[in-house]
Amino acid sequence: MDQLRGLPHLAADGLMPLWLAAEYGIPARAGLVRFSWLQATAGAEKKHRVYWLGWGPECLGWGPRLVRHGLLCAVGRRYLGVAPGDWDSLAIWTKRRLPQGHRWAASNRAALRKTPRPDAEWWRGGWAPAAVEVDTGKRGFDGPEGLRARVQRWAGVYAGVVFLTPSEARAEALAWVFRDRNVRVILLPRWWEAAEGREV
Amino acid sequence: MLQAGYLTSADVARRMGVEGGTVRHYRELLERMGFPFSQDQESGAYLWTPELVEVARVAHSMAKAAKGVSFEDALRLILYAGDLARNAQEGVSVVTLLRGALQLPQRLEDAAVDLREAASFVRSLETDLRRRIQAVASEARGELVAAARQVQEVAQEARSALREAGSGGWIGPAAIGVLALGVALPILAKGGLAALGPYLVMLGAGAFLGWWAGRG
Repeated sequence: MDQLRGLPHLAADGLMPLWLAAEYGIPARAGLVRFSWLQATAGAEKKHRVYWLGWGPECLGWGPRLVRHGLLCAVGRRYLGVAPGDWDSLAIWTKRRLPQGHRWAASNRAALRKTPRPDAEWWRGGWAPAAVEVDTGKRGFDGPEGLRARVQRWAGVYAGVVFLTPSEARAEALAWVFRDRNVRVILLPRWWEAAEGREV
Repeated sequence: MLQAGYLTSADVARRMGVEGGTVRHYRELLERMGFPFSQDQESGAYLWTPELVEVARVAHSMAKAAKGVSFEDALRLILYAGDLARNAQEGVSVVTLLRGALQLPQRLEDAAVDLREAASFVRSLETDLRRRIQAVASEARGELVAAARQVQEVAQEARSALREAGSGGWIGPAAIGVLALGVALPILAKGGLAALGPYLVMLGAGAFLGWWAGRG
């Protein structure tokens, strides 16, 4: 019965590395176990075989980029120590919002229509959630101006911005771009095997 | 909400790969079969515990795998299998029940013997009790008779004492006797016995009246 206690974590993240599921005490049989060959970050030469646990049959059709985003979100939530009830993983569940998020989104529908959707929303108390974005460096991410514009559009809607990135170079770049703004940049260098991280 | 260990209906739908309407139907069936659901106070959304999610998932898989088995049938099967498994774990089975039933007559006979012994014990207890009560009653009766006798004696004594007190005792007759001698001697000296006759008659009548009055 104790193994069921971890299910809300898996439901919130949608998928998580198998080692993280073991940390939460979720047995492999509680979901669907798959493995993917994933680059630690976009453009990395080496690929890692990452075993992961999915919440339901929906996860069988997910591509490697989405899987990496989802796994990074799950590891980031673990690093930040966020409870599943305070986290809406929009990268994985496009429409998944808990009642609190639903009410907030309904009252800010007009503003949210013009705002890019972050990968996750983190409720830390207060009037709005913080936007959590996974940055793997894919597509060059529009450059510094594009990044600034994106964060600017989140400014009036979200209560804060957190970047999760697996690349050290990318983390340094993000920290430099947002040096004058209140943006947290968290580096997760070995996300496929541990929830180690540091704030840049 | 999820912090408290609950999941939403959308989570359940994703877990089973079914539409939201199917999950609603499953929830209604589960509720009808006695599975409790709580609701989010503000939004009214139904909250699933992980255990409920797993029961629904297993029932859904069974219904999907076996032809002709509905979700409701699968739930009943799960409950039945759960009962069987629990009984088997506790060592309760048809064989042990049958063995118990076969031993029942012997147990009943033992119980009857016990009851008979208890009845005879109660009977002996009753006899003993009656004997004791009789002994106590006879003792009490003797004491009562003695006490009544004592009371009678005391009353007799009191009555005689009262009579004596009422009649004045021997002083009165003695005084009367002295007075009679004082009257009779001069008369005897003057006229002889003949003159004394009327006095003697009067004396006898007085004595009779005194006796008669003192008798009651």
